[in-house]
Amino acid sequence: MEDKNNDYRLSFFKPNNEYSRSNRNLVFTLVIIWAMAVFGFHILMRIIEKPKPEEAMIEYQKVKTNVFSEKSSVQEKQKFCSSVMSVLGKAYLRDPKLKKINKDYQEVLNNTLGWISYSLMPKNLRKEFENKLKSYNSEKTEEKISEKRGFFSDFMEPHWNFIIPKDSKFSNVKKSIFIYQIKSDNLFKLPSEYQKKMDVIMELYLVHNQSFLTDTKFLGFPFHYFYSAIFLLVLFVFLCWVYAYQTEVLNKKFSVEE
Amino acid sequence: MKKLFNLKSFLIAGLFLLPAFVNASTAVELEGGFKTGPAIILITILIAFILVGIVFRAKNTNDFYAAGRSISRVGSGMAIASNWMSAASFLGMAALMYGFGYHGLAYVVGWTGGYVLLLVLMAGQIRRYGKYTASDFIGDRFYSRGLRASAAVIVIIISIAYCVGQFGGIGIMFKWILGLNYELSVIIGGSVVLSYTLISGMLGVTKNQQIQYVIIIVSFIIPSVILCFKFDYFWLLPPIGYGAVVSDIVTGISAPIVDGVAMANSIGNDFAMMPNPEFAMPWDNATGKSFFQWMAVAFSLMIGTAGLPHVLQRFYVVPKTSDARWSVVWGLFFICILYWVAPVYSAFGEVLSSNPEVGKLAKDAIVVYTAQLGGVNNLVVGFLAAGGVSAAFSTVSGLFVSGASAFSHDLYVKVFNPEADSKTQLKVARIGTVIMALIVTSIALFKLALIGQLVAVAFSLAACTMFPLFLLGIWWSGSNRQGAIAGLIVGVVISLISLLNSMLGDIWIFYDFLNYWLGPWYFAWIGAPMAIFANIIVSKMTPETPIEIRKFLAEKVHSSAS
Repeated sequence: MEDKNNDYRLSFFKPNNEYSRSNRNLVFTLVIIWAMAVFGFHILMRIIEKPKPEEAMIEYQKVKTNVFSEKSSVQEKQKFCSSVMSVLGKAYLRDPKLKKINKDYQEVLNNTLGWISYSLMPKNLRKEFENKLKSYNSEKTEEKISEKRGFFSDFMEPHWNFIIPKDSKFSNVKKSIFIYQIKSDNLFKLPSEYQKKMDVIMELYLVHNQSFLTDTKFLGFPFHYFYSAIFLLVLFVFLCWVYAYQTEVLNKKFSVEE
Repeated sequence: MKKLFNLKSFLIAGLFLLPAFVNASTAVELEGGFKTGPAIILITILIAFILVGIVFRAKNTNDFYAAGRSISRVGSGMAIASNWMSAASFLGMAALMYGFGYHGLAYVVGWTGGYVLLLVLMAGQIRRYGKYTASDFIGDRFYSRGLRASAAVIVIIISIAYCVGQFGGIGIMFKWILGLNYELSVIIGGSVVLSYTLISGMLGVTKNQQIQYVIIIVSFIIPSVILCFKFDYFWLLPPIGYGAVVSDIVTGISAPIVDGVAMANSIGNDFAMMPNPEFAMPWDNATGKSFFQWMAVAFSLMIGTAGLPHVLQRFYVVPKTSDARWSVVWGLFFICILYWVAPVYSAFGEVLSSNPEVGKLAKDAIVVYTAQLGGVNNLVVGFLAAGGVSAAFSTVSGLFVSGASAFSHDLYVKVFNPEADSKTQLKVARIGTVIMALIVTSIALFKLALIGQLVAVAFSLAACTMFPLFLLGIWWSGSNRQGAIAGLIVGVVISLISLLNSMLGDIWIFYDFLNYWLGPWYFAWIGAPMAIFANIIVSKMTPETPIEIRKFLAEKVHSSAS
């Protein structure tokens, strides 16, 4: 480096010759693009996002007052039941590593499902429903649980229409969720603290941070997902290529031999 | 279900992929006992690695540490990629996205974006500086034997932290293939990778890493193509095809039927799920991760990448500075191929395991389970598992070389016995490798966290300790020995606070607060800036860097006349 003061002091921000200045500018430009692309985009996403409820949440809010006060129609109960199953179908709820969030939420949901489905069963089937469910829930070993779950599933087969209407979306998945998640601790009356917790649980799992960046589709992806999973990686390779290429151009210009 | 193109009618593709769909609809056991086909594939690959290691083994210390500086740009790029694509990339990345949704993408972005910093700030300059190891550079640049020794110890700790995750991955894959328990699998896998590193050194490692790259990438891509094809998504380019899977997860999938056949996973569950927007939506409450954590993870991994000793060491093995630069470009491109594909497994894994009947799956093995649940042929799944082992092997061998270099070259020779001949050095390097392997195996047996998270600890450590020293050491001649010591102390203290807090757990009142703001996977978001700040402040207050160091930096590292 042709040092002006010949004291060899070197700093990124105070280059002391043309070659260093050009190199500094190149590095600076690329780092700014890199930072804006990664952090700028996510800050923007954070600024414009709004909490958006799922359909199941909207339905839940419509019917919950009537359902909890036990003044609801069959359709309202079925909608409530469907919303509960929507949450029980979520992978993150079942994740033991997320205990801190889940706490006893799973228990509340399982029993709420038991309570609402018991009330949806015709009166002449309730005793059998209760017996089958209690016998399945009381088993301890995996083998026995599996066997009793099978009996419970056989019992439900002709009666699904009481719980899940025929035209219901995702009916097969709901049946599976129902069989695996239902519990029988509070079939006749839902404890009042469960009712309070239900609002918190539904809000936690059925409301999401969304904006036009998450709702717009691009090549099949939600746009923001495409941006982070595909585009940013392309950009990183491109930035590296630009740097390697431009450095050679600079080296040529300043007759640098490596 | 949305899809970009329906190409399933392509006869040629059907013929090509037909074997993959054998047993597609029959029940499979996800864990099970010894799997003959996959075991043969794994053993064949391991033997090949050892043979290549023997053929290209180290003949002297120059070979052992830096592969004789005889590797081409593309070759070095492949070795960088292979070295980088660890069990954390191969298995852990999909596991993180499967477990935490969009938060997992912070790891994808962090582990690739860091290469931009590495290239523009470090790669060429490190090659110009002309040292063998990271500790060499630090000891020389900051004219301190104490710093050289400290750096060597830190390099060893980082290598061990990084290796623990890899051994976890090796254990999980050996467990799946050999049907052994996790502990025994870790011990067997660890012994094999240790033997191979001892035989070969870096010359063998570098050659092997090129072969490993090909195995890793091919084994990773094939099942993703099959999954997209089988479930009627755009299969010609799985990284694009799975976009529709992500959108389907958000809106839910009502048991689709294609050509009159109901789509199901290999244990007979419908290919259907309730809406799960939390899988794709940013920092969703249901995942337990926040906006701050996304940013902190991405930032920490990025600067950690630019400070990882075994990655930096790679730049000493290229013949010229321009090769160091282009090898990063190639390396990143090769890495991105894997990173574009990894989310395919998490997305399909989310759908195929959504039925509660599937039960809880170990996240770190989700890549293999997804292929199994998707009804991919057992041999192809076996090849995939062998690819996972290769990924872990390639990284571990590089880390062992890096750790052994620190142990032998930076600690033993430079601090304790400068007169040691090259035979003794090699012997000490090998003893160091064995000690490291024993420590790593012991820690890996505890299965402390997800592979990706364990590896992230190594990144944060590197970001807090090595990155500030390299960044300021290269770009500011004003950074002196005292500043470097101060910065290193700050970085180490913050790292210790985070790690001790994590070990203590909630037995003390600050656990939750510190665990959130100084999480063990991302404490570098504050640790690295503070270390840089401390370095600058103390350097300004103490005697200037000696003129010969400044002259060397100006003339050799940043000069237009070097």
